[in-house]
Amino acid sequence: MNENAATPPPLALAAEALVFRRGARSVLNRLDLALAPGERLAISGPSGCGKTTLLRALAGLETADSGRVRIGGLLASDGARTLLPPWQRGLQFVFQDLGLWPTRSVLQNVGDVLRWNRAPYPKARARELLARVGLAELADRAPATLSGGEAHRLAFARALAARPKILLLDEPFTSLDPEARDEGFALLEDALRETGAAVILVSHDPSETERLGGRRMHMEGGQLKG
Amino acid sequence: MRSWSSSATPWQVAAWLLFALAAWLPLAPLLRGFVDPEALAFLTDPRRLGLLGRTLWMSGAAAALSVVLGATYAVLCVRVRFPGARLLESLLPLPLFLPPLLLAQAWFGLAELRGPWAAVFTLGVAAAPLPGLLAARSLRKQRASAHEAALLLGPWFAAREMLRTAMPAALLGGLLAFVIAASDFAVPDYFAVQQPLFHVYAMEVFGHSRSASYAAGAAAALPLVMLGLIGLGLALRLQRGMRAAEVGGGRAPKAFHPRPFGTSVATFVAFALATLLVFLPLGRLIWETGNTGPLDPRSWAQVSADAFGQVFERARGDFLSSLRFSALAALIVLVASPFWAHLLLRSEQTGSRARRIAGRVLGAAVALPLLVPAVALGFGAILTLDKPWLRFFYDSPWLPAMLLAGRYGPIAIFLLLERLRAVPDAQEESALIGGASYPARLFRYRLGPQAGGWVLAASLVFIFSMRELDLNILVSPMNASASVRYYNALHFARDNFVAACSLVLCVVLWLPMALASSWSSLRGRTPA
Repeated sequence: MNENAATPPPLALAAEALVFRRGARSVLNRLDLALAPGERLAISGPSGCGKTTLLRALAGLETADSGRVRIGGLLASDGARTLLPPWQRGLQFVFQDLGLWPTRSVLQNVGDVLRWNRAPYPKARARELLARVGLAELADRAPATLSGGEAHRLAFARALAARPKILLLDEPFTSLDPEARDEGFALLEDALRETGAAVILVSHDPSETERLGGRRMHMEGGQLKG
Repeated sequence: MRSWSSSATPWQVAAWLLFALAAWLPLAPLLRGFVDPEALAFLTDPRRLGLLGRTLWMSGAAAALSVVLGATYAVLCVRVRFPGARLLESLLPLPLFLPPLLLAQAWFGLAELRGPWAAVFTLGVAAAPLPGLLAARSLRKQRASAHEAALLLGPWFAAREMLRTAMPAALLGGLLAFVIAASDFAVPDYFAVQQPLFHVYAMEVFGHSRSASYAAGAAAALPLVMLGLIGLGLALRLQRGMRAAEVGGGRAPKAFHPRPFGTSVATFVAFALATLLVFLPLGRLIWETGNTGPLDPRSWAQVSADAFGQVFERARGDFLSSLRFSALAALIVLVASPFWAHLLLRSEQTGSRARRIAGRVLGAAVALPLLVPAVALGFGAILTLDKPWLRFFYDSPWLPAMLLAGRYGPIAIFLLLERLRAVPDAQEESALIGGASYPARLFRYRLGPQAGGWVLAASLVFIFSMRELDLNILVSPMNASASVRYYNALHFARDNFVAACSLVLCVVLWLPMALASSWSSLRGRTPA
């Protein structure tokens, strides 16, 4: 009998009894979460309930007070101890304010990620990615000169360039008009279909979480419900 | 904000008339050099070209040193968590407020540094806060998410992104250090006197004052003025890069917390830099106040007390007149700088392209008095203002005050401009709709939330006026000042007295800075 066939594939990401305190306030209160490879999870909740903190703790950008985070079955953090630094977790983050690199051109924002990941022909590949998100014409512009929708598409292109196994999206469509939001979701849908990445999207807007499809959860009192 | 009320015009006209008198009028004779064939003769004079070449390499080396020291210090204090980081960061501006001659004296005493490289080292150390402070500012304004997006790719990529953020600011500081070093005559002159003898271009310009040939001096300053103008062009370009890098608006990135060994290394390097920039020169001066000869029976404390006693006895008059000139200069700037900065702010916000360009030209013209050598500005002041019918003004404390306000006013203007930018336009606009007068709108609603920055700007003018030397040596009504007294004593090798004089000057310079910083941190918060 093949033992491997019986073993279920490791979760893409798991959080166990995660606790994060800010002063006296518990932002994450023994929070548990499991995400299978390729799964889609949308988390809703009011502003300030700890959604962003959860994503940041999963990415290794914040250190939790206690609890564990596992990535692909590997222990990534145990309490305040970081075992896998953010750059070894194979995930990408689309920040609420996008976090584009202001001193680099649109092309370089994507090209740098490819080059750093040792992708072959990074410049040509970056142009290809930009063409797919409709930014080919703006390749030499500075990110500050892009419109809101264009900047969001660039942030997605940059995150996808690393071919992540997990994509963390922190209210990426909140500031967009309905048309740009539609474009963003279409882009995300294509990318997820192609890469098979698992995704967590957090938003205070229930229509956004509904639209992603997949599992939906609600955050309240530092815990996930639903 | 696009609306503009005509009630502002008389206030603006008065304020800019004052700036023209204080800052641009003394520059007029220098600009005449551009069309004067005699002034352009330096292009064919091999000796002067040689001097210019030496000045360029020395200033370039001093600027490079200032960038390396200042940027390293800034990165360590802002981005690495180690014990004492905040204290060390608060010390960073200090070398900027000490006259470079004081540092030259301290380093000569400490290590017997000599020759052109000693001048390079001293000028580089003195100017290190410029790239350091600007780089620290840019690092604080880097958006946390941009840093974290880079961190997801690896620590080296994040470090590279951090350097890309800080580099335009550090280079801008280095450029300012270059222009300041190129026009400094006192430090190379001090080391040249200690042997081996060498010359730089600023000494050549200053030499004309000995024969009272001021017009020739102004003409000879042309290459340094040109250097200042080239520096201005490059500075505007770098400033654009700096603004692009400083996205701000969100959280600043967290400081890096290295493992214990890394923390020890960071602490050691940061304290070593602080020692080089601040502790060693000040320590040497303190020691020097009580340094006794082998045959002197008095103790160190007695000699030191005598030296300070002499300073308060002999140099009190000079200190008081320096304080008077500097306080008046700061007062002029305190009153007028909000108007100056507000016009520049409005020119940035106008919809018309022509007015925006005019605003940029005005901004460049405002920076000019700061970028020309002080010696050249002194020649210009003598040529335009030393007239029999202006004697009542020329001999009054208002001439030094006006010249110092014109020279250092640009620092206050640019600092205030940045603070005014941070106040939401809506605050002033709602006051305009409510019918508030122009001064009320400006002072209460635009400047009110930034009162700390306003006081800081005027304090900086006070400090730089107190440490001014070149202009004070040249313009006769400014001769009775602390820095000239100190300069003269230094050349007569009265080391105890000079060291005590330096330390009193340090305290006088440091106190307003410390007070202004505290005031600024208490009041300078911009509402969300």
